[in-house]
Amino acid sequence: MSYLFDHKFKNPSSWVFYLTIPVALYFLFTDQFDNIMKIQVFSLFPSDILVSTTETESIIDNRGFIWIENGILDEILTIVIIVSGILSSFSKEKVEDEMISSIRMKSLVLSLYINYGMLILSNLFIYEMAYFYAMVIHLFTILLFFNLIFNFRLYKHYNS
Amino acid sequence: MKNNIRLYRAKFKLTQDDLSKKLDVSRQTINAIENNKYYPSLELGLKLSQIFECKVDDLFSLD
Repeated sequence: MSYLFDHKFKNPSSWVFYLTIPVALYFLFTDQFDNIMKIQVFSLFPSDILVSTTETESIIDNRGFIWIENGILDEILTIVIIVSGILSSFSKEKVEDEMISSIRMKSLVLSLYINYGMLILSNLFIYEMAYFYAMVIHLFTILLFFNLIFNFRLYKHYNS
Repeated sequence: MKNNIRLYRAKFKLTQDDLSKKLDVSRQTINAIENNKYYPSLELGLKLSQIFECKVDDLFSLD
């Protein structure tokens, strides 16, 4: 049984993935996530247990299972990046043969090693809130690394 | 592992493209197999032996 998506998803999702990443990074580094698209959201978990920063000041002291005001741009961008990244990474090629599967598997293993290697380095050399940001970024870099490595290897394969 | 696929392909007057269509794989995969850059699965090996009307042993051998 193949868990891959149809080939038609590959190109559109790749465009969305690679265009959304710089947009998300811009909003992350300019610290604008909490100011845009503010709506009432349902918070399951008390945020004061997790972390207390200026960004979360407005929702500190809530006890969970309550409605809070939150900018949802980061949630939207997260979903767009993850869904487009998965579709882009795991859509079939035009001719999805066993060698493509082998290339896909090797690229996935390598991207996982690189991602967790970088996470270990972040763990050793980055501290406090910067480490939190590093962890968040690493959630997406595994898809990014896989995409880049897999597409580079496919490019080499198709040009052999 | 080495293989004689190029020899058999020439014997049966098939191009890499022809063979790839018969096997439902890409031409580049046939090229990679011929150049020992990729070792095919048992299923693909058996399909190759069927096309070339020979045993798998005739197509593939250990160095």
